[in-house]
Amino acid sequence: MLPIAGIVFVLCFSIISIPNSLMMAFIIGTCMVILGITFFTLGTDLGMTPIGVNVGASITRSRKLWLIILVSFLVGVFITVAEPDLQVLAKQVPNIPGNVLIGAVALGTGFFLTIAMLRILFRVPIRYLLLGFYAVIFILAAFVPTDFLSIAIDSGGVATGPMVVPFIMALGVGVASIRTDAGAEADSFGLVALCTIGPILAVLILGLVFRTEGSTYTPVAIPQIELSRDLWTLFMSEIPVYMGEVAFALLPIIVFFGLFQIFRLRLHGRELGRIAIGLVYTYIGLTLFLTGVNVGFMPVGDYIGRLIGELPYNWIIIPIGMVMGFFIVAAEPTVPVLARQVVEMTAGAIPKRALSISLSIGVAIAVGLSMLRILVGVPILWIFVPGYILALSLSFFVPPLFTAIAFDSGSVASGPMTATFLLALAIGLCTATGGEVTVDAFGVVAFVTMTPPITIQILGLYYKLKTRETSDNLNIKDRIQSIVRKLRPSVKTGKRG
Amino acid sequence: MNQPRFLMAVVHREYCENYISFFQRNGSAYTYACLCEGTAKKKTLDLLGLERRDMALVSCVVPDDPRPLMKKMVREFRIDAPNTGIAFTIAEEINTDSREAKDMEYPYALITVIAERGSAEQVMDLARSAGATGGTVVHGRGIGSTQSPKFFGVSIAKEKELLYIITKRRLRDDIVRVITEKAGEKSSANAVVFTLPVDNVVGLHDMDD
Repeated sequence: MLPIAGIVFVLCFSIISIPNSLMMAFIIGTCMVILGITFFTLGTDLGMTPIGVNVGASITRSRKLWLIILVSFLVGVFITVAEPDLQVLAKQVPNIPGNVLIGAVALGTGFFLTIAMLRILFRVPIRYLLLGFYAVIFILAAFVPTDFLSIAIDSGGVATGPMVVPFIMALGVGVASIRTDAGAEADSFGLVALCTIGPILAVLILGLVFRTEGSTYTPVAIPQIELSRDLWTLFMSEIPVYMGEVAFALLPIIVFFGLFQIFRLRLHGRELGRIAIGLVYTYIGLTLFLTGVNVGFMPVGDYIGRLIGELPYNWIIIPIGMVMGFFIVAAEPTVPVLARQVVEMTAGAIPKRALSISLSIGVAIAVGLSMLRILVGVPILWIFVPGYILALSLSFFVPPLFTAIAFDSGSVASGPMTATFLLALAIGLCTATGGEVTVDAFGVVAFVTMTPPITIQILGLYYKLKTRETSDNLNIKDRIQSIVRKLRPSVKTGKRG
Repeated sequence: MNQPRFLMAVVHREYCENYISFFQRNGSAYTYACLCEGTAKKKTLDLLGLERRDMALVSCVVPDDPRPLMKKMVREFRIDAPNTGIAFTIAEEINTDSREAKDMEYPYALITVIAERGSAEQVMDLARSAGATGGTVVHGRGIGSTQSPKFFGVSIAKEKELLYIITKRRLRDDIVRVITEKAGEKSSANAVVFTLPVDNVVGLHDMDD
């Protein structure tokens, strides 16, 4: 988080000048974002994750197929409906009524969450599903108008926001936690990756049905602040908006958990208390985060984009964007949730550092590509299709665990920070260089979803080659057996005595 | 007496790698680590999620006398400072005939409780009522004598929790009794308890009375 603020400061003190009022809003926004992420991370740990894990374990333990299908579908639909990012998306597509779009995206997510859960049970390798569904996306994309395409592809990353991601990831952990077979850990990932496909398909299909003319965007409003009290009023008037949004977003999760607690789970007092307090933290955290990002970050992102775009050497946005991309992953509220789950499920076999560096490099490349695309005006499919072909081909060479983690990471990385700050930066740049915002600037989120699967699978490839090299690398079973053998003499003595 | 000894260390998760390489550097064989949680000490802090509980259990087999290794561990990691961790070795085999007498020599005991998932807190509360100070929880899956039920080829296991408690030898029997009585076979915790003698403990603090 701090590196991003640092970059913005350096930029604003050196090559571009933004109004001091914006700077103040940005500083306050930064504080809110930092506080927000702290609370949110603590809250997901304490509240959302235990709920997801318990619900996931409980429905698998029931061994009732209909229950699994029903619960996955309903969870997918209702959490997505409430996702705060989705409301923003709905406003950007003028020809399709907002409720229809939200409904379709929610149904899409519900459907794909069900597929993802069934995949775990029937043990279908994730790469085949990804391959099949992305092929369908590519085919549909060919028929959709170009000014609608970018937003459609973006919708996948947008819909898997800060509510959907932690809950669905935990659901996967819950399912895996009661399995004894090999591959249980690997299967706990991949839910979010598949859930990203649902919205994209839903929006593409809607685009075909409604024959939409394109998409719009609301220009970022630059707040007018002159006095310190105006600054205060600005934040205070926005906080209730996000308080309402986040409450609406948390509601389905609370209802679901309540029903499960009454009929199936029956958790004990202290555990329940922790979950309740966790939900309160999540609420506070997400409200602070969203207010900070939307009020403090978005205008600054737009402004910086526009001012750099007007510079004679505006190519400088590419390296600047890449550096921002590299550091911005750490400011996505759901990335710590993913990192924690990877550490826990792989018992530290994939170091957090290696994962976060690959993720950062991935996002850096994504932002670089987006900025380049805005400056040069390359059609989105020229990058999108080869990118996914590369990501999907890599999946045949790396362990399935890495493929699942990699595609999940993509969806996790494209969180609210990307959807607001980076998108605003792209929109600003696009406005300055005279591009078509709906064609060129949109697509940032899609790229941020696309590149981490590539970089993390490359990390997987590296690990695979490294482990193959070390010849004395016995598998765990062999090691345990050799310990038993070595300890056996002392066990015998014990019996004699 | 140069029998291999089993050493266990419960340490903060971020230092887990350092401990693993430390053990490997010092000639220990079969170093393993698994993630675990410390049990809560203060209820309010725990409820607010403010207590650090992420720990790792690192275990290894020490080929001979573990004492120099333990001393080195204290020097290198200051594991004896409060709330940094705890390390101990399972005591050697008892070869003498007077088993009881020998048993008394070990001042500490390791109590291991295997209970249903979600009941470790309850068991720990019971243990605390009998004088225990703290414990470590590892999540596990049960593998019973009957094959676990299958569901579309996915085998479904019972979720269990393993609770390790290090305690003074004289408190051991009370703790075991209270757990078996109140959280034993017929209760919802369904706990199974066994103990092992422990020597060479470092990092115990709140146990002095």
